[in-house]
Amino acid sequence: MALDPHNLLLIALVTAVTLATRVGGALIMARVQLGPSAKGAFEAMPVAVMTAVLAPAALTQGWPEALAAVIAIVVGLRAPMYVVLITGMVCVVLFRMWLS
Amino acid sequence: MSVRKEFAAGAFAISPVLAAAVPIALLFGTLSVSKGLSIAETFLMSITVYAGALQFVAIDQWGDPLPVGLLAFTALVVNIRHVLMGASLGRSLGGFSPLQKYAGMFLLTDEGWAFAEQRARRAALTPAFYFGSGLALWFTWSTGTLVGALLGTGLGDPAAFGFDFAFTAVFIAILTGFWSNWRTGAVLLASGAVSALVKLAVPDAWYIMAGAAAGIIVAAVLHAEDETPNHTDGLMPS
Repeated sequence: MALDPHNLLLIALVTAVTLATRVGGALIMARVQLGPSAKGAFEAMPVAVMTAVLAPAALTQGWPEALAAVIAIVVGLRAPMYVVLITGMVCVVLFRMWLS
Repeated sequence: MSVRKEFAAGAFAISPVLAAAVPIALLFGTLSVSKGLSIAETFLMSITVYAGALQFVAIDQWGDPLPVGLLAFTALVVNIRHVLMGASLGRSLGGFSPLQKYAGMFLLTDEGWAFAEQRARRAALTPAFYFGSGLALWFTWSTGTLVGALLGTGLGDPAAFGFDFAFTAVFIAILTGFWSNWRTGAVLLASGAVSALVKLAVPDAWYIMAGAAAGIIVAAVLHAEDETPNHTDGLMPS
């Protein structure tokens, strides 16, 4: 259960940077007014940010992951989240067996 | 609704994410101790840094001598999206006290934030709902990494059961919940295409900001027409 001072320092540093990014956005928003364009931009943020995080993982790893992602999207338009989760995991395992 | 009910509703809403987070958290714990961090350090990092994507990238770069500058830079690049997320969510925190607001930002994660945004579109986002979902994920993630660190490398390969795909599937499920009209599709296409291309062409995690920026710009352009005075959708009786 050792706590190495260098590791602790580095964890503190990474925590500080992360915390700054977390609080930064709320601080900025406390002092701006939005027109329609900016409002549209903000409404789109959840989709834009999540897609940007997700798309490379889904599209650039290989066919099994990409196909499973497509199926999860189709299922996700109708089914609850647990169903999407299970379907996606089952599909990726099957596709990896068949396609590799 | 009572505070306790709202808190429970938040934790319940995010439960599929918790299920997806457990195997990933276990994996992080085992990787972290295999990289030379102690069990206590691994747990501490999960409690304080609490950012899954960054923690995986950081642990990958952890070595001797410790790459201080590189890690600080990586933390900034991987997490700069939080600024956008916080700015967007900040508009829905009217019912929060200043302390709740800034304490709540500590719990900001992709998934917790997406649930809060979705909730805010249907009803007022209460602090109880936000902290219910946020603390449930924080607790699951940190205890999961602790258990993974304790088990060490005795765990099997998560890819064998598709667990490595769990977060992708949950992300997709969250994303589809945001669908409203063709503009959503345009944002999705722009963000997805740009982030995938930048990921292939540029090192580090710049692809997140590049993709996000592309989608946001497309949305701003598509909504610019709302500013013209003859645009009366929603004002005329139908």
